Parts: sequence; structure tokens; C-alpha cells
Amino acid sequence: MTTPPATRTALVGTRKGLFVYDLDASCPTVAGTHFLGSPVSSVLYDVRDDAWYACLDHGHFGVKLHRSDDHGETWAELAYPAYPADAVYAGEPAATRLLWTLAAGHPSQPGVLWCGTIPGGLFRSDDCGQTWELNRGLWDDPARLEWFGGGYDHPGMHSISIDPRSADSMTVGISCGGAWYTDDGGKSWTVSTGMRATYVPSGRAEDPRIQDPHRIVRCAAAPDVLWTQHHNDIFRSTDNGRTWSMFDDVAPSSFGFAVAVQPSRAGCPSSTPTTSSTATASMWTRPASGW
Amino acid sequence: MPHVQVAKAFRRHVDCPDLAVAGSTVHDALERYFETYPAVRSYVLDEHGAVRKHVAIFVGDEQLVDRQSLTDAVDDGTTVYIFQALSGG
Repeated sequence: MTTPPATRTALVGTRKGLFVYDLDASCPTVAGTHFLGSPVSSVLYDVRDDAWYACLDHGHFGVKLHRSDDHGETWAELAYPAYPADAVYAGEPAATRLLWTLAAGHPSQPGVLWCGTIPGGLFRSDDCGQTWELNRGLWDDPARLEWFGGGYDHPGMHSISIDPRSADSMTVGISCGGAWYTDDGGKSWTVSTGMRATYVPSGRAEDPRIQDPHRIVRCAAAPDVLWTQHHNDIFRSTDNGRTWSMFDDVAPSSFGFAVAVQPSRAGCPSSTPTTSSTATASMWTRPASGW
Repeated sequence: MPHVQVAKAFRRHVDCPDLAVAGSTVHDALERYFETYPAVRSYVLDEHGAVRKHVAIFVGDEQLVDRQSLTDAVDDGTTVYIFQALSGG
């Protein structure tokens, strides 16, 4: 008796539910659906313990977090990251409006999860999502008061990138609050520099606290290299997210949302560029000036 | 005892049968209800204990007044209705 090879699957969160694709079929096929009809704002496959997580937005009934330990056969609802009573946003008690990204902690920290939310709070769980705590180092930074909403009414954290070389080092991205990094596990944070915004008066264009990175990703083979699809341009960091350099002559458009980087080729990002006349899924072409 | 009745729209997501509970305020009645069905709490209330913005609660035919602390009185035999609000029209 032999054990069949593990099936390669893709978890795709959509506004209409969670779709599981079998990537080993002759062409990718839908192998399962979950939470059909409910917006799934983020999904996570945690390779450390083989668990699936789904973040839901039930609208009237609030956000929810579910975990499956059997690849979707059953799901258990967990506590969602909730703001403490003394956390204030815009003069009112802060409340979780969206679970926008969920990330597995460093491999040396089993059970640790990180969650980015709207209105901008970063949460940590040490028990596979059973309980959550707001990261006060970033929430209490006075610079957070400069953040504002982009696609949503309130600022939101959509990217969390753990440095594979150190559990204490990570970078997060906020729309519109820029990119921030920590080297002490989240006790203190520094905003990165080098991004440029075209949607504010010129005097604020280079203010790192109001930048709108739509997505930040890290290259697995070259962890110092990060890419971001920003609201108005594409930026790259080669120093672990401390500073960013801009690419603004990218065809067909430097506007978009998603971005990925080939794991073994730090210089080969891909995205889904969007123009006013097309919303296409395609690759960036290398700008004349080179990457 | 007051009765708590949750609209069918909730049942798609969470088990929430009708239930008779003790309590002289909406807050107390719902706390008793959540003791039996704890998963329902986060669908009705936010993390600060207030009624979610797009959830409507009626005590009999009257809309809940105190959406922050739910101190509205509820009499024996009265039904506390929990609906999804008509947000958006």
C-alpha cells in the first residue's frame, strides 16, 4: 500500500465564498466551496500545522474567523481579533471592521498568528487564533493618527511579512499609513521611507505616514528584497523594507492591487496591472530603465 | 419570562433557536440567552457590548432605545426580536 501524493491546492477567498482549487488536475478545477455567498476577506494555509483559516465579513453580523484542521471537512468558529475598550479611533471606541490579512508567525513560533485589520490595528495570537491581543507598540504610535482610509473608509492593514531570518523582524503595510518595520517583535516600530504619493498636496507627497501601498510581498530567496504595488507606482526595497525605490514607467500601468514575487528570483515581480479601460490579469513588462 | 427570537437571516451562520429566558432588561435577557448560545453574541453585539450598527432589536413592538447598554425594560411574556436591519433600503 502506498500513500497517494499530496494534492496541490489553492485557497481562493472571494466576495462569494472560499473556493478550493485542485492544481494537480489537467486544468485547475474547483475541488470544494465553503462559506458560499459570504465575503471571505482573507485565507491562510498554515504549513506549520496544516490548518486552514478563513476570515469572513458577514456585513450586518460582523467579521468572523474560522479554522479547519481537516482541509475543510469541518470548520470551527474562533474569537475574532477585537479591540480593547481603551482603543479609540476617531474619538470613538475602535471596533473591528474587517479582517484584512492573516499571516502565520515565524516557523520558530508555532501557534503564533498575526492579523491585520481595518481600522488599522495589528493583532497577535499565541494559540492558533483562540485569543488575540492588539499590538500596542504600533497602535499607540502617535504617527498612526496621520493614517487615513483608501479603498475603505478607514485605514487598513493588508500586508504582514515576517522576516524568515528572525522572528522579531517583520514589515507591515497599511492603506493609507505606509510601510512599518520592527526588529524587536513588535515592541517598537519605524516607518519606512522612499515612497511617494500623488494624491496629496506636493508638500506631503513624501510623507511616509500617508503612503498607500496596496500590497507588500517579500522574496523568499532574497529576504531583504520586498516589492509593493502602491496606489500610484511600484516600489522595491533591497534593505529589508527600510527604504524604497520607485518604478513609474511600467507598462501597461503602474496601478494595480495584487503583487507577487517569484520565490527564487527576487528581480521578477508580477502583478495584475489595471488601466482605466481594462482590468486585466497580466504581467508587468520590464521598464526601459530596468528593474 | 421574556422570549428571545432571532431572525432566520442569522440561522444561516449560527445556531440561534428561540428561547425563553429570565431577565427584566434586554441586557439581562440577552446575557441569559448567550449563556445557552454563546456563539450568537458576536453576531448581535460588537466587542464593546453595543448592538451592531446593522442589527435591529425590538421589545415587543417597540424599537430598542439604549443600543449601547441595552437597559430597556422587558416584561414577562414579552418577545425580544432580533433582526438584521434594513440598511441600504
